[in-house]
Amino acid sequence: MQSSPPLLAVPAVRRKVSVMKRQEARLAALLILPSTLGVMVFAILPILASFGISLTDWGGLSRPKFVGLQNYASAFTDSRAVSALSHTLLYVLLAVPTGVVVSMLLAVLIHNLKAGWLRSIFRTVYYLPMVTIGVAVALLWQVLLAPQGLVNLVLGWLGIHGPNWLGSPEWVLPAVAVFSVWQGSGQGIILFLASLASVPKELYEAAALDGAKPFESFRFITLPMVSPTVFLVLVLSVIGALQVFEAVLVLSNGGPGDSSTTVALYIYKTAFSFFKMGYASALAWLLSIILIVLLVVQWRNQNKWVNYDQV
Amino acid sequence: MIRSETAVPAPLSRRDARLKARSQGSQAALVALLVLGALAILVPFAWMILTAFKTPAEAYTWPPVWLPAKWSWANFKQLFETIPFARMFFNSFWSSTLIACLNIVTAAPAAYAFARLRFPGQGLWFGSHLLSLLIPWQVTIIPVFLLIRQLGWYDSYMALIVPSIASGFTVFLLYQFFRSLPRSLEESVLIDGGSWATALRHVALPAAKGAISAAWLFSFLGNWQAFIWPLIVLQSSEKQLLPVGLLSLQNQFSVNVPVLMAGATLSTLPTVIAYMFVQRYLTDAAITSGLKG
Amino acid sequence: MKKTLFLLAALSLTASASAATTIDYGTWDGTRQVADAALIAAFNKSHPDIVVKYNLVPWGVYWQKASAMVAGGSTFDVMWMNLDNFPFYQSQGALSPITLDAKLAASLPASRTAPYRVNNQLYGVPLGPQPVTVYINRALFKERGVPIPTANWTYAQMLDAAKKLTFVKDGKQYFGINGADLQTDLEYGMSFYYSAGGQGLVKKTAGGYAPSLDATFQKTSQQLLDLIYKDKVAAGPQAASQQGYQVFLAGQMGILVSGSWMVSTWDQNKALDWAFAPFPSEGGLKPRPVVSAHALVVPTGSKNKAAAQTFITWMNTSPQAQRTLAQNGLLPTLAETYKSQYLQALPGRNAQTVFAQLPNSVVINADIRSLSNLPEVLTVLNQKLNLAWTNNVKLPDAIAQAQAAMAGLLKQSK
Repeated sequence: MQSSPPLLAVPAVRRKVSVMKRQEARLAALLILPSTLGVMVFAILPILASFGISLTDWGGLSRPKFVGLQNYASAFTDSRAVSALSHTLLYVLLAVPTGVVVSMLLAVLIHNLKAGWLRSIFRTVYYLPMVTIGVAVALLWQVLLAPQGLVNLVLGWLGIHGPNWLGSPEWVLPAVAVFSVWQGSGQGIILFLASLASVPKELYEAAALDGAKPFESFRFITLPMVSPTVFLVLVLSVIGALQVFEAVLVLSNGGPGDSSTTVALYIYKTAFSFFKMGYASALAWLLSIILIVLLVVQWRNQNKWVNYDQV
Repeated sequence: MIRSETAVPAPLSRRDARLKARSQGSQAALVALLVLGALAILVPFAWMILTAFKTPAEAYTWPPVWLPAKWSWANFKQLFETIPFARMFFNSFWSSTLIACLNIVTAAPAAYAFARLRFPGQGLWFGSHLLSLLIPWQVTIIPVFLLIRQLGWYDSYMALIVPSIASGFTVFLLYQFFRSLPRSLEESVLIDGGSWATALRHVALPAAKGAISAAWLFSFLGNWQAFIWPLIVLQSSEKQLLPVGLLSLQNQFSVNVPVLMAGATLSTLPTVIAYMFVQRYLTDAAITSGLKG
Repeated sequence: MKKTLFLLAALSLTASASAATTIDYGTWDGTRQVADAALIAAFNKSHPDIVVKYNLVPWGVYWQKASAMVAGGSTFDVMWMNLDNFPFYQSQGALSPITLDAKLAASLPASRTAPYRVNNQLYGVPLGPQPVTVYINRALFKERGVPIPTANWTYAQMLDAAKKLTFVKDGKQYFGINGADLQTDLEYGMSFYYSAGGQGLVKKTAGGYAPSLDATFQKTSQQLLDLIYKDKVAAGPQAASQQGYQVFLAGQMGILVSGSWMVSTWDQNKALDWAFAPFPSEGGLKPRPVVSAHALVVPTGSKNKAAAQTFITWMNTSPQAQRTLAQNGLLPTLAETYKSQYLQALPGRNAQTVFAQLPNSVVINADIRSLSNLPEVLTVLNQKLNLAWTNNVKLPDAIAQAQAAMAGLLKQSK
């Protein structure tokens, strides 16, 4: 940025730099104030309060009773909590890569359409599921996923005998994952389209002149330029998938048995059906710690593949 | 693309003709693939809309019938008789719009500061924004509710709107976009003696029009769909929002599916139209923002 | 029905006009909306100093809203309560005791009031009973030449009828009965269990509590499961995704084991020729269907307890309210007294069957309601049985797993 100053002017420049730093800090404070204030009051404070609740035995109605870290200890020996966690992790592995790849592929397909009106139409169509009220859409999919429903009908045309999706412990989580990808890919598509559009066309033209094939320019130009958005979509997907609740509640209510009970659903039932708000808060904190660890790992790793040094 | 040089276009050479055919062929392939995927999206919606016109007996027939024998508006009539649909729709619409706008106004400056500026405590404040995304609502809902009660905002729009003004999600989204912008334009502002504030207003914000539109849209839809928080903090039925209204069509043992589908259809159509207007800003803006460097 | 909304809106406007006390009435039962509107209008007329505001909270989120309100100290004045939640709410001091005139208290049905009495204090006044009932599609019975069930209908006869009522016509599948809803731990299935002589799912032992999934339970479960997989007279998860009542509403089911509250739902298909049928008996014993005992309670957070109590008393004991409910095809608290109005409201539906069964009906799990972790115990039983019902686990294994899981939880209960 700035070139190194001549020796005699050093003190003056250093003063100027520190003045600028203070101005920068002051400006930053102003810029982040409203958002940070809101987050502190309505998110962080309640989160701290929920940590306090997790140290109690509280039914949710009247006086809590302090029990220290007992709730956290119980969580490790609670087989239902452990199985809920394994279901959730399996779901994340199913839904996140699929969702990111599908959104990216569809965005690339749409982006490469030459006709602007075609692009508009497909953008609208693929965004439809996000615009509808979730409960109604989930009810729709219950019918579609029935053993003789539309999904199995289409699979039948391809010669595949579809299982009873919502009635088999092995297939219920994949079914919920398919629903989530269907419902949520619109958001990823929008983000990827915006990102793809900002890749300068000259890069592609130069590569084409050098004789690069489409797949090569995708791999060496598109992917790196779009990588910040890939990271964004990845992180948002992981956060959403680890907390999946409404889809599971409406589609299968955690069943059959408890084979699709995710951690968020288990927390919900523990808090509001079993009257164990304290224990539910502890479970929520454990889930959040897992999420934080996953995010930190992703954040640290991004230097290896996310490219912020744009042209 | 019109060629202005020649009045009569010269015939294509054999090589050009082959390239053109190949590119048309690949365009057709793209469209075919996208249409397949679009069917997967549209068929459930068609089902939803068609079911809204069926009688309950038709809606529950097995195997399912596609078209109603007689197209009746009865379900829509019943929808408006069971819940104050129009009022709830209006409430949902203006509150989601307001919250989305406030989200952008608070988040965009913050995201820019986190992405470009250097200041003490930066990691901490940004981290707190991320942390707000991590804890499940099931356990923070009671503490926030108690806070609302203390402030005396129960059953008021303040309780609905104020806690939603700050959005960690929006901050994170815009943060990523600001980070991925090339620094060249902002640097030229700084070198010319301008401040970061100027850079924000005249360079970064216009460049991020696409991202901001996307963030606005996501925020609008997230609030449009929310039902737990409005349910807890609002009591008067005049103030209540649409998802809660649709939820009340579900009883303990039964749900009137056609009426619910009528409600879902009516909820979807205006938002689809609104989206069709907004979407042109989502990709084209980024192209025309002068990023050619 | 638009009148309903107008009425409710107008009522809330007049509230602000006069100096009357306004109380908030919270309910989850949307099927009663019309009846509730009529009741509230009648109450407001006869009690000009109290105005009642109607609040329908969707069932799916009712308990979250209730617990948030109680935790926040700003509750409804009158709300619906069920036995799944009552013990907890009462033990946490969230409910206020209700004092009733001794004569009125004595007139209340004992079996449905007792669960709401703690330490000789009454905390809830029972709403009308909601018994499990059997519905039949008379048109299908006639079409297939199956005799209409008589009062001494047995399970074997029911099974036989169901077999005759399962057929395919014009590409549509007709089912004899709703098997998927009859999981033994839920209301409908439990009715068969109690009718076969079952005594309860949890028994008191010397050291505490233990699960009691005895031979009666196993036999009943197998019978009900066979409806789907052996006799094939019911749709299991393999055949359809529709709920039992939906298939019945579409006219494709001969016998539906459901509840008395579904009466208003059948109005959605005027062509449906439905009627009540007796609950089938098993082994020569009198049938004992399950009855839900919901009640109206006054939360401690209410600011108008006296007015709330007046409203509850009126709703559940006054002749005017009872008559209005009966005329709307709903069973009032003092069901027997208003039998004729109820029968008149549902002409030609064989509604007297409902009253015939009422004396023998059972309030589900009434004896173990005070168990501290009953909801968890019941949930784990439900999950294991569900695996058998979806044909993922053999029934004996499912019951064994349930027994083990319940035993583990019961050891921790108080």
